[in-house]
Amino acid sequence: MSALFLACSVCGAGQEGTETSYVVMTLIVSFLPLAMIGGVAFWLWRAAKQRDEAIEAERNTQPASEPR
Amino acid sequence: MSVAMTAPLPQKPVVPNAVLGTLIFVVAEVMFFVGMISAFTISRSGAPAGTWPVPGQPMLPKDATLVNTIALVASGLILLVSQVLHAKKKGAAKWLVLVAWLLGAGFVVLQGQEWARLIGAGLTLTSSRLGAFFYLIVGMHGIHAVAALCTLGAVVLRLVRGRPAGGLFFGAQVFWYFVVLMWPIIYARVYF
Repeated sequence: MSALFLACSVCGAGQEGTETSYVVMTLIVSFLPLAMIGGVAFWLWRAAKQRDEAIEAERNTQPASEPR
Repeated sequence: MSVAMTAPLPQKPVVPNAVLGTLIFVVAEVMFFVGMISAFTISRSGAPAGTWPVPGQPMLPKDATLVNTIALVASGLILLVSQVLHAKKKGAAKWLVLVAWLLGAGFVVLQGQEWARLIGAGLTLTSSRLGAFFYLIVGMHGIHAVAALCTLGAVVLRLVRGRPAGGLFFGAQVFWYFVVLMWPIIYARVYF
């Protein structure tokens, strides 16, 4: 019997602690990838914005080339 | 009529390709570890009272591992300082990267010694569920640490020879920070 319920540690034990752990870990595993991908995307967007601003500032400080 | 001509400025990449590639890899690896920690947590919470850890099995060495943890975190912090210095003082930066590498190597060696002790005391991959999870999770982290050390070692060699490490340096840093930041979570979850 013990071998039977130990085979599935999630559904077999039926204890409140197991259910809580299952729910908490499900939430973490579900939302963590979204948070990480969102974080990387936001970081890239911010870095791209800063780069564009720096290029624009550099362009504005450069003297225009002589007219032909 | 005169027309002001502005030459197009060269486009710089937002982040080096090595950093972006390593970041994507790290996101996947974080989920790999979270999956294992999730299985461990659920399995542990379902263990009948008095069976975790299995009576008669050795206890995990919390104190000795705390020293390892401090060494690894210090290694990460030193690498962070070297990143700041890299742009200004390349000479000082390369020695800091070497110190970070040595601390990381020390972590791996000490972990290996702990494993040898635990196996000698009877905790093996098949002796209990704790043993199985312990060797799986900590072992996978160890493999990542060794891989990150190889990359960081290549950076150290380049810097010592006076060659630019460029994207490899930043990519290796991202990978090492992942190894460093993952470990306290594993330590807190598995050892306690």
